[in-house]
Amino acid sequence: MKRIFSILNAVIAMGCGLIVLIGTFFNLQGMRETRLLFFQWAVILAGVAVLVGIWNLFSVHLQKIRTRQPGSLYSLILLFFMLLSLLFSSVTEFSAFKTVFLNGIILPAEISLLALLAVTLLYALIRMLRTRTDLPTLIFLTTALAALLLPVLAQFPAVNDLIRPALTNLLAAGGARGILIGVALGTLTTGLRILLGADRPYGGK
Amino acid sequence: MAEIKCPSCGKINPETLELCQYCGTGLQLAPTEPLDPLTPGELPVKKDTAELERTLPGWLRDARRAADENTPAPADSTPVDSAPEPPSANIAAAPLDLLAGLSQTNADEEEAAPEWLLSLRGNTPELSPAAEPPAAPSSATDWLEELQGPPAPAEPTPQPEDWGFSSQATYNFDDDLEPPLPPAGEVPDWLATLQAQETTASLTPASASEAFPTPPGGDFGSAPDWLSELGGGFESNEAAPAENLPGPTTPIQIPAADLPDWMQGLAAPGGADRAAPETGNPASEAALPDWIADLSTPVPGGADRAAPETGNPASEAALPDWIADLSTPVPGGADRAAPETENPASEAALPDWIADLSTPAPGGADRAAPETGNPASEAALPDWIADLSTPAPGGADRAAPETENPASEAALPDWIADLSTPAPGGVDRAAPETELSTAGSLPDWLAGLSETGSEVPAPGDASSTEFKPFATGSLGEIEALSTAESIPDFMSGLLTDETKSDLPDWMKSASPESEMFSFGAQQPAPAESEKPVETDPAALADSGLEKGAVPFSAPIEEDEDADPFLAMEIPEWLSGLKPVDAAEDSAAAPGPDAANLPPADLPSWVQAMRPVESMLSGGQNADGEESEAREEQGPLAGFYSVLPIPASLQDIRKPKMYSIKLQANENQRTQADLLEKLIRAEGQPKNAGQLKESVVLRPLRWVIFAMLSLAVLLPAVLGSSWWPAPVLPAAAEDPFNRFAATISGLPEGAVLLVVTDYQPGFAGEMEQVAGPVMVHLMHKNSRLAFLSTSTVSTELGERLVEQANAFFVQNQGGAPIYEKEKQFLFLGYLPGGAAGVQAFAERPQQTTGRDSLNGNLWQSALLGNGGIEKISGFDAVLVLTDDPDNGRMWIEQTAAALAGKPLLMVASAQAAPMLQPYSASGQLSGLVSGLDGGVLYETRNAAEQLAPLYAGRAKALYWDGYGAAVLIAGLSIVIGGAWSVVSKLRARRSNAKQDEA
Amino acid sequence: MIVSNELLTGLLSFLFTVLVLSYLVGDNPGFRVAIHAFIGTAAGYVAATVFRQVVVDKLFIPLLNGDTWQRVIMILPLLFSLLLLTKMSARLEWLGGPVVAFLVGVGAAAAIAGAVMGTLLPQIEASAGMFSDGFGSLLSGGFVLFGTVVSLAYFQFSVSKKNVSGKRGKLAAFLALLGQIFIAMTLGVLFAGVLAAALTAFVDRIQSLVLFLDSFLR
Repeated sequence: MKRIFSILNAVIAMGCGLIVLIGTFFNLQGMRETRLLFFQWAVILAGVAVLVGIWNLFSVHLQKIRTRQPGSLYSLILLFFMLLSLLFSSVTEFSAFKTVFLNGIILPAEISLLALLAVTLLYALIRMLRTRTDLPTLIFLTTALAALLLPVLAQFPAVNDLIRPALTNLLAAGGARGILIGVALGTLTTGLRILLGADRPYGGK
Repeated sequence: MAEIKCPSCGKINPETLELCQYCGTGLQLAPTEPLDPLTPGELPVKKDTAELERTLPGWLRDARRAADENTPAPADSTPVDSAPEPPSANIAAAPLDLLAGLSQTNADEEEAAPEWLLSLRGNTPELSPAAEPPAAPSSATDWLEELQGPPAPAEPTPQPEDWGFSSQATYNFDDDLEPPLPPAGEVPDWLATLQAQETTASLTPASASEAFPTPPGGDFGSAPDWLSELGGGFESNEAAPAENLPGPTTPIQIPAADLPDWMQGLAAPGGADRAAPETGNPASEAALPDWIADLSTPVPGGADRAAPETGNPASEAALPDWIADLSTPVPGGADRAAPETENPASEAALPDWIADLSTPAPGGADRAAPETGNPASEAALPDWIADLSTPAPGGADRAAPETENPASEAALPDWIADLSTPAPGGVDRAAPETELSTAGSLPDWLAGLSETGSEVPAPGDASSTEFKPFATGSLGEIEALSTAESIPDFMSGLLTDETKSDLPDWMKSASPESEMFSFGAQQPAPAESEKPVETDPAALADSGLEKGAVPFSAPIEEDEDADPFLAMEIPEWLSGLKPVDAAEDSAAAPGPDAANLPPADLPSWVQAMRPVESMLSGGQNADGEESEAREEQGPLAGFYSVLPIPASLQDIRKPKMYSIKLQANENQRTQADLLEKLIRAEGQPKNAGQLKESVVLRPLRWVIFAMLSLAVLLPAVLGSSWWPAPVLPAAAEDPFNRFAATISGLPEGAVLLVVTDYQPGFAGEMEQVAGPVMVHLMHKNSRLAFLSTSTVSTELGERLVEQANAFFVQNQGGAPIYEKEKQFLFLGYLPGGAAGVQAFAERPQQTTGRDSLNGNLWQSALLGNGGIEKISGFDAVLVLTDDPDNGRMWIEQTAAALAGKPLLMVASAQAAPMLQPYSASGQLSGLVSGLDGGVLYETRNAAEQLAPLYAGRAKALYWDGYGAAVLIAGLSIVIGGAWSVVSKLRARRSNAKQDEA
Repeated sequence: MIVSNELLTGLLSFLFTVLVLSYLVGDNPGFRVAIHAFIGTAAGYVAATVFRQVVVDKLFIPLLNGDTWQRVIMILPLLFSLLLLTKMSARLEWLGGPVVAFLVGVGAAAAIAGAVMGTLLPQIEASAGMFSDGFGSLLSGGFVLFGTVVSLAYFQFSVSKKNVSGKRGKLAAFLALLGQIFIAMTLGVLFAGVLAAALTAFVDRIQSLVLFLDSFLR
């Protein structure tokens, strides 16, 4: 039975992918409609997948509380705020609290985490040469320093019109374009492997 | 149903039976409990017969039991199972059952007998008489296997000439081939004859203790009763039950007809006595060793030694051929010739020396004749057998059988050859004695059997009369046993005083008075190879062996009569043997060197069996004096001719102790320790570096945080605005300029799709960057439809609008205040990633915008009352993103559907470098990124006089602090980098100095 | 005292900002509480948003209120959604395999189309179009093209069969080294952008603390 499902999965992935691909490159009315229908279904199913992930989070912490594992208090706090946020977000009357939660908890916490990242990144840059001292490292550090300082020095026309464009549009552009092309090629290759059945991230052999 | 095999006949019987249904032997045999072995230093202790009963083999016990049932105990019978007393009291009594394991009752316990012993039994009943001609022996050791030959047919009745020994195997160690024994209680003929003759036996055994005196070193005590009975049970034939063997002093009278042929010649006046018990005493026969019992017990088929003489290959096959040949009647040699002629095939498989036994030499009177006629055969014969063919100087009697059976004589061992020598007084026993005295090949025990009352040469007469069947020098101590100590019980009844001296010492001690061993007083001189090995008494002085540690049995008195063998029938070929004067023989007997005997090539196993000359001679020369030192200590105490221990080994008391420690020098130990430390260090984690890292890491972070905080707080607290705003780029192709231009080119009231795809964490930056853009759009009265592919970011657009509203309120600008559902709305969350974006780009109304609370938003006036069917229906698309991949996704998925509509992007500083190529390629209509972009856009707005009173929130709140923080960061990076380089250089220098050092 | 939403928001913002920034001192229970509360709040918010805007609005409402054709069309997504929910159970998760396969297949196809039509072709075209405007653009275009090529060469790790050592050839190694330099510059710029964004967030937090304290003290 599982083997049948494995084959079925591969057939579904390959078939639907080919339909979408054909509908994209070929202006076939049936194929376009089918492709759009598949997109609609994919949208719905992607939302349901998010719910599955949240349920998994809930069950893990609930199990942690049930089994009295170390850190179950934090799990209790997590579940408390989850339910509270769920309540505030679902009930229209509590929409104000939803905003409070959004502006008072989610945003400050995430922004603060990013602020911590600034300290860490700066610390890493300061100690970078202590770890390794080679040409790419020096180039990296120099470029990073330049890219960091140039915007605040943009009041100078030379910086703003010459150095900064040369850095962003010339030196970094080549590498960035090369990376983008490489990423696109990788995406193309991976997609083709999935459509051809060589890769099966959905399980099965 | 379970089955049990009869120990006698070997046939299968039901387990429930107690007696064999074929032979009547008891099936349920009690296991044998052998006595504890002697330990070095211990002497055998006399044991009571009752105690020794359990040591007997089961078959023997059964035979004894049956005999008890059949015959009454003699009145004057002495307990034969009483072992002689040990000579000294201080000798620890220890049971010694030398023959305890001879015969096994339990088939599982029975060991596989060696081949040579098996061959001595002869063929089994299962074998067809003439169906299997024996194959040619492949090696010298296979000759014994060939002795079995083809099985002879069963002989129903024993012949009167038969002296009682059956040619068929009576006791066979092979369970499968074990021939059936006569029924319990049925006395073999030879034994019956023996018993009959016991009544007239002149030998009256003394007490068992006298019959089996304890040897000087101790007593063997544990000698099997059957052997003790052999000496004691022959006192009276009539009253002799199966276990009552004639006493050692009473010659056993065995009818000549009952004696085997080879023993008929040995038949003395007491020879019939010997035969009697042989034929009429199955129990005694049962007590005999198998190899002896085989010679005596007739098989149920009645096959006996006479059968092969008359052409009965089956019976003859039961005996080894060489023994069978010995049983062939000597007169005329026809009997011997008969099996020879009738069994040519068997003879063909026999070794030459055995074949020669049956082949009559053409008038070869001298032993030399067969010797010359069959040099090869003689060369292959063992010495002791070859000696049988050597003619004695005065051995006319010997010559007689020699002429008739020169080949046989040539192949006969001395002791056997002596058997053929007729003893004086009609005792054939003497004949072989005299004969063998010249040949010097009769063993002492056989020499004793052949003569009753004949003068047995002194044991010390080693020159000519001593018979040394296994003449090896190291066995000289055996003689000491026979002379000084009591003989083993099993031997006690076998020797007489007369024959004692002729017996091997190891035999003399057993039964000095048994006639059985009084075959020949004179023994041929030993061959060169049979010289006793001389031992150095001095070398053995410090051997550490305790004196008298080895138990000995009491020497058997010479006047003790022999065993039942003395009364056995002497075979015809032996009967013709004439006794030779021992004195003449001893005088005339040449020395070993003068024997003119070619050295025989004995097999190794035969050589191993040969008793040491010294042991046989008892360490005494012809004068009776001890010529060799007797071992006084140790496990070989009492033995003569013990191999000397090299002087270098004398001091060794126990094995040398070798240290198990590795013998390594100091340098090796040091290196080994170093290696061990290195290996141990590999498994230990290094914490020094990590500890150092963790100690330095946290304070530096605190310093960095403090510096940054200070850099941000000071402008915020002071309210300064000293950091200059960036200058607008001059190039029109600059993405910023293009962005601004695009926004400026939008019509009034344009409907823009604003995608807020940035994370809440980047809200601080993105709101400062997108805020001025929102102000610009609000100045354009643009209609904004917010959409997000992130669930949390769906309401971030509302924050943007609120901030813009606040800005406008604060600045009291002329921009309208945006209200929800009027100037902006939220299309909600767009899941699905790239597929969702593509689906929205193709069919936005089917993808999102249908709210359960708000209904179909696409039908609202803000969105053109459902006029937007594709993404291209929007005037522009503004994507606010912090992720370059997200921006790339929107660019890729909406490129085809936009149909030339501008795609603007406000990106975070981290996404800008990767989105720059898209801007450069024209896929993006404009790009604003980072806080500097927001400040720049605010500057542009100010330049266009959008906000004349207030430059902007970004500039006011963030730019100074950001500038200072960046400056501090830059300086920190420079200083830190320089410090790192200097530290590395210093470390490298120090390492170089250390390396140089 | 009635706490206004703004005050509550300010208080929560201040509290969570301080708690999260306390991680600089070290891992502490305050930081853990803040993080767990943040995760819980975000998870609840997301769950509510998705359920309402996807499951209800896009699935249930068309099934209940849509026309026949819409209802027929929505049966399969409903069935697929139910199968996808089996992913919650370890025992029945294999039933959600076809749904995942559908999503993967559709997403892969969409990604292929976008990569080809949205990145590969335009970027190649753009790289070629940089040589159109005079000598300056020729140099810049050439330089950018050179940087693009060597950057792509750096990620080529395959070698020919004849190469016994398993390493790249000299030319490939030289191009890879140059590509490494261009990539290093690009990554440096990226790093600077991340740091800039983080610094901006840092400034935002510090500013929010100052503003709250200022408004609170007033």
